[in-house]
Amino acid sequence: MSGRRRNYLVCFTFFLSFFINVHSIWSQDKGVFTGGITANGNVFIRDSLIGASGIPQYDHELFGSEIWLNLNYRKSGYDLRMRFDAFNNSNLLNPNDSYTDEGIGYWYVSKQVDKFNFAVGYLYDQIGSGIIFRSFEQRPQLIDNALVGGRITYDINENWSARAFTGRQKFLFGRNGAEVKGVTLEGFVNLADSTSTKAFSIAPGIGFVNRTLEEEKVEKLVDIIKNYIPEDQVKPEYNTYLLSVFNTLSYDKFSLYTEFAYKTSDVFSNPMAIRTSLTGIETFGKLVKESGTVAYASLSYANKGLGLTVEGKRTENFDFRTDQTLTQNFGLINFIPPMNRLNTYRLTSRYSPATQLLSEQAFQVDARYAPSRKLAFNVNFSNITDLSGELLYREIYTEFTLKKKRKWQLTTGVQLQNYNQEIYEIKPEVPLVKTITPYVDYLYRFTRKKSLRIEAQYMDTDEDFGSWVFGLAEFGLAPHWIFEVSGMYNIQPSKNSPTNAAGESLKILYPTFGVTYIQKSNRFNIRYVKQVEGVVCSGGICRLEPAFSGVRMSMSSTF
Amino acid sequence: MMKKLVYIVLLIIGLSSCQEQMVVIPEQTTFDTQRVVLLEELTGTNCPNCPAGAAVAADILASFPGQVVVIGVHGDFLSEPITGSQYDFRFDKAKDLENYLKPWFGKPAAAVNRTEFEGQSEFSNSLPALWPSLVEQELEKEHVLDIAADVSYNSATREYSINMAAVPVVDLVGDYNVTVFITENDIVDAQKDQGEIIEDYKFKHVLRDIITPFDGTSLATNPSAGAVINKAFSGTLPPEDGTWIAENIDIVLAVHRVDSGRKEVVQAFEKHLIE
Repeated sequence: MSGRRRNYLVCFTFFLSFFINVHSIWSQDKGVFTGGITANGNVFIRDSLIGASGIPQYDHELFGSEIWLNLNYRKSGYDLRMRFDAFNNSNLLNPNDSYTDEGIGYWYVSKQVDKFNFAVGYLYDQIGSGIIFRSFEQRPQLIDNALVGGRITYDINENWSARAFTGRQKFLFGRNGAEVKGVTLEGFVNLADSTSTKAFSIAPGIGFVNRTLEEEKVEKLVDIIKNYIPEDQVKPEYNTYLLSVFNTLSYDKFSLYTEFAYKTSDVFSNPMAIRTSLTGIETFGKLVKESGTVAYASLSYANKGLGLTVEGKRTENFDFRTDQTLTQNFGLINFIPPMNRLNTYRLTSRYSPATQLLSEQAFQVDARYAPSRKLAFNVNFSNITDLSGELLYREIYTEFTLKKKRKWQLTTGVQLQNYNQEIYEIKPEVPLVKTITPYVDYLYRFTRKKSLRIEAQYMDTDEDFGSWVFGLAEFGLAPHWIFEVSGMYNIQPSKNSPTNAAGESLKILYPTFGVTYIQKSNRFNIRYVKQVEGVVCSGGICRLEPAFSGVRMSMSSTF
Repeated sequence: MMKKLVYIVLLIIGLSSCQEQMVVIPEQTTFDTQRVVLLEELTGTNCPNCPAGAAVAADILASFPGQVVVIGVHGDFLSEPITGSQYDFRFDKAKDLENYLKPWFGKPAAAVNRTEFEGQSEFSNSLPALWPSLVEQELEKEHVLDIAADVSYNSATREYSINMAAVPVVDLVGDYNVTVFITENDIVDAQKDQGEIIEDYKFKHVLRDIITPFDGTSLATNPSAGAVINKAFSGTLPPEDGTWIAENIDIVLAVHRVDSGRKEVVQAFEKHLIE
């Protein structure tokens, strides 16, 4: 029996005996047992014309799947959780390759004892807004960077609590190595006097994180750096420290969140730094050593149908990972909040900016006004540059919603974008993508059970793939069925669009047909999908996904 | 409350002021060995990070002269010609080789002696900065086989012939194949490089042909120390089209294990077509 299989068995036996023991000790408390399962299946149908080819799934594997099964049990202050993960020829980890493995992907035990809470296992947690530490899961990109270790939380009083944690970051079914430790103190102070009708409070916090690289990782860095010319060489350190101070000030209808984070001098990879090789060739990308900062503020105002939010952020050299040789979304210990609107429509979300960790300056204004229950307006403006002022992303988004109670709802607006494809997608010598995208979303309820939703969008642009038109019709038969048909058509192709043998750009239709069946807490979905290459974002984290052609199936169930 | 807060801040400042011993960056290691390592660089014209990989490969050749042979495999992924390209370096056997060296995370990637290194989840390493240390690990290993070869070329007919001899230095176990590659240096063409296209990029070690099957032809099984194993190969260079310039062509031989799913290269050899 392999070591890993033995570990699964030990883990499973431990949990089983724990569940049984807890049940027998406190048999008067029946506890709460919950769970859920999510499964995806993809049938890959090769279509080299749109670029859905060249990976094992299209060449010979043909089918891929992922399964997550959660089991949770709460009883007498104990909280027990476990998750089984299985990946079979999955393209989630790397959209250009295949990943197969299975095992216990998560387990967690916690116990509340008076003012203390003790937790061990796979921990999901964050300090402040996550700028110096956040462990979280984002399944659409197979990000699961739980901290595997222990945590103690102490409730000093009803308004103040402190917690400390230590562990190593999870990576698939292993660990990323470096030890991460953190402490945080968070509180709440009511500043309003007892006669005041206006709320006035602060919620301050301070957090501290330390990462200690293991010997092997430092040797790896030394192996890299010793091949640099002396002028490019930097000395790695085992320990890096991060400090974050944050506060939410609330006064009447205003709320101001501020956070400032500092990272001590640390070695990290800068893909835009120029390295001179031993043979005198200059290339991009090298390890550099710099301290880092992030300043973030968010001011919001809410009053009778009016909501206003203004956010600003400045990031410098804040790439913080368990292993400095990892890139993209791998090994990140922290999370820097994105500074753009989270769009959901197919074409308005086609170009999404990934948060830049080394050089970014951004602000965002969001205004919402609803003069009545039938009418609402939303305007959003975001602007992202690097620290030298080069424009990375700009978006103006307007939305108007009109509804007739229980009968219909109309949502419409227009989006204008500037998107620096050269930076976000590392595509050389491509121009700034400029788009104008009007859209409309109309929902009509024939009866209480029958409804039809229609989406229409048009993206006008001369860059990248050129202009698109998108249409969707979704027929709902509540409470069980949803039927969907949609198409994304490259109505005015440009230089990045697929071409025929003569080199002429092709007008290609990317259709989708889907059926969803819902029964209580169970949901089943099957869709035939042709999808163009594009940036996919989830939870503010983005990556470039290749084109897809095939059938996607998903099911989820909670119990 | 404020007092507690001050204590915590002081504790944090105290912890972060702890000093650790500074890491020493050593000099580049040299190796006294007859072993020659094969570095198969998976690259592509349409790959914006690949010039950085090629620069690392050049550094490796400079750091370990005569001890490393590099071939640049333009297989399938990110290898298609780009705006400004005059040539297409792809061919079927290169694609087969690229797939044979999977898994790799992205390009550039390199297989160093086709060895699965400890702690490495991908067969071909996608982090060029680590390639020198992988080469060092291979150079530290025992030298087990010598390769010698005579290469002749007829400039009138563009025919070439290769007569090779492989001599194990120690008794070897397993089945061994030999693969014969043809590479070409100094091809000037367009190449992506991060945010730009370099119109006059000078390509080195471009894999132009594999005259054996891409995974080699049988050489010996359990060869004994001192036994001389001879093989002969021949072929004809295609006509010049701005490339296939005989003076820039190298012949590369690699002897590698093929039994029980193993792939590791035990010795590589390189010789100019025209000395």
